[in-house]
Amino acid sequence: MKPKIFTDNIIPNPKVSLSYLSSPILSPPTRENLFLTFHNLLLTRVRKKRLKIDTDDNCAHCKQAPEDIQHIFHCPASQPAVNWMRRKIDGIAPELAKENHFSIFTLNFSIVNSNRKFSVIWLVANLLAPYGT
Amino acid sequence: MAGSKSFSAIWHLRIDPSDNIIVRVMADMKPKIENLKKTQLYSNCFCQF
Repeated sequence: MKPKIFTDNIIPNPKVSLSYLSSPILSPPTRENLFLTFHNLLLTRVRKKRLKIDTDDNCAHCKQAPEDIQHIFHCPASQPAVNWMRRKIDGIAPELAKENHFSIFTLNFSIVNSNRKFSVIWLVANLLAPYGT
Repeated sequence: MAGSKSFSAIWHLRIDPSDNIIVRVMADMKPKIENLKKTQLYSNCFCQF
């Protein structure tokens, strides 16, 4: 059994996502945060429970499901922010409209045009990054 | 390695359940976008958004 932090446990094509980590437009904090996301290392409530830091892994916002990385992008409470991001991305790269939220937020897609690619990577990385970075 | 602040950071995890997520996210993103638009990088390498 693979460790739970293995990237390909959560991302179908991890090489695609990881290749974007070296993008020159990312600041160190945003790059670090993407690395943690891709490796399932964000301190979600599911991870806290697994590490015995917390006893309850249910989402604090919707209380409908365990709060893992996938849930964060699909949680009803996140939808205003997620939908704002999708509208921005639809304007920049309409070819990504068919991708689901999880593929977009884990940068698990391909874009040929480099300007579009940089724009989408920057937007996703900064939306996911901690406040003030 | 990540400090404790960034290690637990993603807006969904750090926002109080009673907060308005879109307001908090926009307050964070708008200054970042404005700063980016002032850079040479934005005019050379980005689609306009």
